[in-house]
Amino acid sequence: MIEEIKDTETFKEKLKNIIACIKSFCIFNSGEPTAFNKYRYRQLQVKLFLFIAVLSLIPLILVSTSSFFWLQNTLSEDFNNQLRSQLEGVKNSIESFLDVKLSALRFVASSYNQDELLNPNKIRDIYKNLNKEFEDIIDLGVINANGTMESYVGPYNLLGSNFSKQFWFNNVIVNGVYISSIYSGFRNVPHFIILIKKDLPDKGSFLIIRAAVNVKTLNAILSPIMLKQEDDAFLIDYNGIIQTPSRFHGKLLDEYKLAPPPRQNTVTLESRKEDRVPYMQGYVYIKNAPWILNAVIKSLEKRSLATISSGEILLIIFGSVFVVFIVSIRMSQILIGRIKKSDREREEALKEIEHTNKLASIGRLAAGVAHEINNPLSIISQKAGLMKDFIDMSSDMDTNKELIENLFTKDKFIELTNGITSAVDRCRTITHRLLGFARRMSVSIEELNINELIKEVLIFTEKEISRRNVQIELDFFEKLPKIKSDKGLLQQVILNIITNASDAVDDNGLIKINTYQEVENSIWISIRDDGHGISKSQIKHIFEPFFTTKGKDKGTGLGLSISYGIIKKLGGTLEVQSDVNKGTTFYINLPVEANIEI
Amino acid sequence: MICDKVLLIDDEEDFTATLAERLKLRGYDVSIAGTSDEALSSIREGIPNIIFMDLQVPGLSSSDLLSALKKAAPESRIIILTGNADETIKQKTLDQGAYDFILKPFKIKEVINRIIDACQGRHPSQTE
Repeated sequence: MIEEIKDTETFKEKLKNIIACIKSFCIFNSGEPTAFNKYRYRQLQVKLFLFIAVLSLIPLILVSTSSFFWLQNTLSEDFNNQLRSQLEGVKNSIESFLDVKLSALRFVASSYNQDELLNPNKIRDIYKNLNKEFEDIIDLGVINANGTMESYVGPYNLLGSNFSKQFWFNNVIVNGVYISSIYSGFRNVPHFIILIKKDLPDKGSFLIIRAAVNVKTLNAILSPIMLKQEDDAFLIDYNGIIQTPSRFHGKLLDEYKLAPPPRQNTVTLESRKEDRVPYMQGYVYIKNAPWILNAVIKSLEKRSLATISSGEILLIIFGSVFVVFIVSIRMSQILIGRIKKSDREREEALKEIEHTNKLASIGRLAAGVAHEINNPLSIISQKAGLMKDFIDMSSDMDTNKELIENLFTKDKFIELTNGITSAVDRCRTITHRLLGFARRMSVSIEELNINELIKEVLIFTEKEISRRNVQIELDFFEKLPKIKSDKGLLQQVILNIITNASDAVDDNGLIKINTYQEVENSIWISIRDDGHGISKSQIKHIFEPFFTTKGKDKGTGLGLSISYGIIKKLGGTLEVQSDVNKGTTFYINLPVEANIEI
Repeated sequence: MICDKVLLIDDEEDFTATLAERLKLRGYDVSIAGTSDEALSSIREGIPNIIFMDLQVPGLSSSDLLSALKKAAPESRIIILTGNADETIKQKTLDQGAYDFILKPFKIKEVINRIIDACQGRHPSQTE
């Protein structure tokens, strides 16, 4: 009997050893794996860099493109104006050149009478005087109303020639003045003629004063147009015959490939394309002469902004892009650095949490076990103590022997030893269960019957639940397949949720635990209580560490966050559904074959 | 004043029966209650001098039972008998009006001493 009492002391020692053992078990090993590995940081940094770079480049590209086009437009507008005013100037020069010639001939027509004009000597004098002023006048002649050249001075033998069949003859009779297109004539010298009609006093009679003009001066007038190598400026007549030398569009008196444009008094500019190369066509009609001043400007490319300042533009663009890239790289590096740092801190905090939770679990377990074992120990202690009382009393001379003998019978002795044995059995059950529980704390995958596992977990909560008269209703799917998972971790989760459920319900409350299967490769456990429920604002934080709705002395706020981590680790899901004042249900979905992230 | 009426409240019948027997051998008048209701009806039959009470008794919660007992038997000294060694629980029950606190398992001598102390109105802190 005394040995039995001593045994209770050694049992305490054993218990201490068991608790020490639990401390070394892995209850929850690294719940959250590292959030980002190196590759993912790299990927994130690249994405971030691209995002910042694109975000910065878009406005840069927009602004520079719009500025470029605006400037290009302005430049081209400026060029067009310049071209227009040059053409206008040349047109004016040609017109005044012609005006001077016409005035001189009109002066001749009005200053001299018929006899003087038809007198060969006089006409020679007139020509000489004219030639002094205008060297480009080649010859001078007077044609009568029949079209016959009656007097002539000049290098050709035109005296007596009849011009009545010439197309201009009737023209000059009608209009009084005529300027011809340029042609090469008999001696192949390009020239044009100016004709002035002089009405004679006899009614219907007239004379035509004819002067041929060399085109050299005309060519000189065209030269001031500032042309680049690709450009061309020349005169054409109404028939499209080239009137002055052209660089690229044919020889003098060749036909120009483009039909003459419609008549207009002002300069007309047209943007055209030849072999996809844009060029500018400018033309203007010359007053009093059958000529069109024509300019073909193909040096547009050279005049564009891109060509003029391509070096500077490229430098600015590449400079800006370079700066954007450098800044983007630096910014993404800084941001990723900060994310890495906060991840590291989070991981450290999580490790801290796990550690705290581990200690809290061990503490709870130790207190629970101590309490469970202290009760049968005190029975043993009292039963043994009573036996000792009897022995002490029987050896005590003063005690009523009869009374002792009545009390201390063989049956009583057997009853007491049976009591001790059954208390020891209770202790053994507890310690064996504890050993089983502890052994499964280390991470190991085994075949599990979830229904059995839940029943085992319920034994731990039995005392508290029966004290508060909480009803447990089990509805197990009998054909639930065995799953491959970690027993210790699952026990921890289920214990956690059942403890929460029993904390949530009032005395006499109800907790329903169901197991069921929807699809072949996974199983479900639902734990429903009819407690106070969780509000919508609280439910979204329920799996966050340190979040608790229990009082400070009751909950650490870690149980559900750790449970969530464990179920995730076991390849399952943990969900919650709650209605205020109706209750809360936790749903655990577990794969039949755990796919564990380690 | 005679101070020998003891009430044991605990749902561990095997334990209360044995302890009661041992106390009876030492001359105490012991009654037993397995639930809160039994405890309160036992008090109605006769006020004990000393009440030994477990912290987890079917029926009321420990603090409710404690205040019910204090109300029903204000002169009785209540001593907590529990296997739970938690210091905060010990302090809580003492604050709620428990006179003393004994951790299971214990020796009979300890119980007797505490009964004597309680009967003489010596507070446990004075004896320790």
